[in-house]
Amino acid sequence: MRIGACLHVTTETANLMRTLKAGGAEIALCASNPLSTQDDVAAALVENYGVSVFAIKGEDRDTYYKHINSVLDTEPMITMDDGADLVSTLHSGRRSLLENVIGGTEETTTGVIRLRSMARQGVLEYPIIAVNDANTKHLFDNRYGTGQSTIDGIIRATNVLLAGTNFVVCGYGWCARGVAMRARGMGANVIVTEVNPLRALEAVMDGFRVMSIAEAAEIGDIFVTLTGDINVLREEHFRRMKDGAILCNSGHFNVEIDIEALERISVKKRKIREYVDEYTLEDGKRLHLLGEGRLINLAAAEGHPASVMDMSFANQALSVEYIAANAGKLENKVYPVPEELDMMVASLKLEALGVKIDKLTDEQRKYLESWEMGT
Amino acid sequence: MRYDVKDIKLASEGLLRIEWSERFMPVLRLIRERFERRSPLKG
Repeated sequence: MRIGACLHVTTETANLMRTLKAGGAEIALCASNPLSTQDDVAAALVENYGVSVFAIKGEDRDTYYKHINSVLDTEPMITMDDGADLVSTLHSGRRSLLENVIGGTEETTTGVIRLRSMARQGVLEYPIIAVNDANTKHLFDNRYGTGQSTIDGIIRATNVLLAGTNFVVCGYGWCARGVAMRARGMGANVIVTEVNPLRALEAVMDGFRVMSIAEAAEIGDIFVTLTGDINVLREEHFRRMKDGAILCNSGHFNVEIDIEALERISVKKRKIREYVDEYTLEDGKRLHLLGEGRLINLAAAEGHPASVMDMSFANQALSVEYIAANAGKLENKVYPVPEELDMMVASLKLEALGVKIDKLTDEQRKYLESWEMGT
Repeated sequence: MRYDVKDIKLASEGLLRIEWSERFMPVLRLIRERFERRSPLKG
């Protein structure tokens, strides 16, 4: 089985590649983000594990797409994507290759949103399993993985003390919740901004201050975007910000901060340290953009810790196996990870952690299945 | 095999870090062992 993968080229992904290899697959791998590649891992995958890797940290946009096309040149039968760039390239410029493909997986929220929109418009040409939507993925990887690694990225990039800062988290999805929770644990005063009233209310009752970005802009020391949408922080907010404010993104694409506007309204830009660009506005105010607005946890730190990627990638491996076993039986739509696989991953992780849980007694099971019995 | 990486000589360094991560990925390890026995992705 030929697999084409577009994933962050990290040590955890390397272990997923080893697993798929062990199952008999031939794999070509490219980066799902130009800044996230670990060059030593890319080399080891080629040299020691026989994986065709096309990825160089810091590659420009043209090289990024050239590498995606190099993976497509291997005529994959299964695609594995993180953000849906591989799938969308395949569906636009490389349509002749579609007939080889039996299915694919998608790792992240942003990719699932893109693929659902393709399915809705009737243009998705093969079935996709939304690994992101497995409970053993987003409840852990997004929350605890992004939570910890985003803080790690900010600290490595700046060495800033979080305690006592006004720390603004834009969004309150699973990733943002994780960051908000961890920042609070470090002693920051966390402010949450949202557009969804339900999520905003949850943030309020979780004990965070909730306000509009315009209000938060005036008091924030550190801003993190985790929304999946564009221009969350833009000119009107930059103008209100305090001197020295730190801006970064931990959403999938580098579109959440309007960098073009920041460039336009600045009179001076310099790289003050690795991963920190200092922009000076006309009035002398300095704003600091981390990691060029790309995923800060991958740009300045090492991405999610392996322990949490263990569950995400177990879902990936089992989903690929499922696609291979069900070739030709699935429709061209976005499927969830089958519930039994999701539960199996949770059980295996508990077992590995040495945690035992209870089983329902026969009496308890019967009670849950009956409707006649009240008090 | 075609590839395009920054420097193939970095492999030994990468190999150690991959091994380190593997220690924290017990579920994936169990799946890998099963895949080795059954080859579900062959052919």
